[in-house]
Amino acid sequence: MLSILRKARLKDKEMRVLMLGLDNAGKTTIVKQVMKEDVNTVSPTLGFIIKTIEYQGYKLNIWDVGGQKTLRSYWRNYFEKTDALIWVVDATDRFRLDDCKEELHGLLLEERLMGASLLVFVNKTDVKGCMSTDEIKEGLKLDEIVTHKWTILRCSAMTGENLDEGLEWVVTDAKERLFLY
Amino acid sequence: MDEPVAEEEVVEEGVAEKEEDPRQLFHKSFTAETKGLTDTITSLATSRASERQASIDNILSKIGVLTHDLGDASTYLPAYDQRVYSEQLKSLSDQLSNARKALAPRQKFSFKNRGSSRTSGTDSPTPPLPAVPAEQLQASLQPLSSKSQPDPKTTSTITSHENTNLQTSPPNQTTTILSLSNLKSCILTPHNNDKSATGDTNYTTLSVTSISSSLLIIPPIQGPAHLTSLQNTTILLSCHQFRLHSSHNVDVYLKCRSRPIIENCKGIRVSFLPDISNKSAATEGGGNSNVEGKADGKEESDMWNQIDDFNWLKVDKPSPNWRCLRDDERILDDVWDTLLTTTTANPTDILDKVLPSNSV
Repeated sequence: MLSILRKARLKDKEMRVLMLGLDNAGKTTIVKQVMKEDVNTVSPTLGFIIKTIEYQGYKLNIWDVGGQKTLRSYWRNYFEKTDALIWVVDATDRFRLDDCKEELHGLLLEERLMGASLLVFVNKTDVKGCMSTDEIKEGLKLDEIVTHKWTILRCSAMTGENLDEGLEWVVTDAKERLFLY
Repeated sequence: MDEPVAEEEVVEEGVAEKEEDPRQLFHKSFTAETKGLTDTITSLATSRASERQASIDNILSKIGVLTHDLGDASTYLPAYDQRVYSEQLKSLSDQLSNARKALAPRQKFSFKNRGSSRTSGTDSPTPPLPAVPAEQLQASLQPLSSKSQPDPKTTSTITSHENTNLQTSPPNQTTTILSLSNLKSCILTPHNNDKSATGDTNYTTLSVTSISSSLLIIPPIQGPAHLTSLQNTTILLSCHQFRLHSSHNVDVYLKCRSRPIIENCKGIRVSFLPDISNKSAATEGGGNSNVEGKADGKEESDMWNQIDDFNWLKVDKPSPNWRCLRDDERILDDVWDTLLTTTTANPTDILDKVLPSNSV
């Protein structure tokens, strides 16, 4: 019974990816860069944006939800059936790293996100003086995460560095899970 | 004797497959799989350490798959059942984390590879470390983990001043972040107008917090500006993205290439960036073509007046939290000129003339 459902889902080759993070982390810019759209005209997201990206024959439905405080309480509306959570961190924002940690760990307690793998995108690494991966790992207490499979990647939405690698991880990981049975 | 019975069972199952309620089918397989997972989790303690990680990953993935199955089943499962199943999954996940915490002193490598503590001997990933008590590790971690302390090399920080004339230092190759905080009754002006010294380098990021009764003339910011808790302050700024949070009574003279946003703000008044900041090294493209607020310029659009208020999503009525400065409220260019040339004066004399509270 369940295996039939699973097969049906595999055939769809659709994945739902939720992109979250504090405001000003660069979520929309990442999506725009992946879509090869102009990244210089990005305004803060007032609500959410859904984009479908074709990647390795898979359709990735990316939900890019605004990160402003006012919007964070609405994040939960997007949790259902999420295959992967991409958490975007602004590598230049030392001041709010603590905030960022709180929000992330709060999310990971959500039971509806339990099945999702976590990709931490350390964005804005093209900016000089940004934080190192270790700094972020520690600031976000990533090593304490035991409920989700996670990885951390440095990237730059402006140059496009490592964005494909991130999607690759998301897809490979989701595939592994679907083929488990 | 045995065989017929077995056949009967097969038949029964076949019938059941067709007639049984999908809810019961779901219950069967779900229960079986969660049971299996519980067993696996319990057996983690006795499994070999080398295999443990693989089986943990496997369990995580299976929990993930079940979560999805539950989502898919939401069309025919009653809400209460969904809730119960979902709680079972949650408890599985909790069991797993507890099991993981109980096993393996897994934090042993977490903090070693920080660059600052990298000395030749102590760092090798050989067994002596696990013997170090956890408290000791925590203690040695303390001085390093003060993450709110910015790196002085990359961040130009101006903080905790009162009644002072301040100047930002010019950005250079390594210093790209400008950070201002805890200023009261201060005047901040850009570094000296010697453009040749700075070349084309601009600050990429601006972070401003807790400013009251001050005038901030910010050098051009290439990337985003993030401002929190400003009161009775006037700010001149050109940036790529503008976010203003939890502030009131702020006059913003702004040039911004994307739609600025405000959140939890009151009494925000905006205007375009006056020419004056161009003169004081705050040039950006040098053009003032959009000074009249026309945001349709293709080359370098300026959206200073297209503010989105997160606390006001109605389209038919404008937000009460912000408005544009009227021409007669705006501080004129020649006033700025005079102000800038007399920065040695007592800050309050100047502040009296430019702060929102004094003109409202």
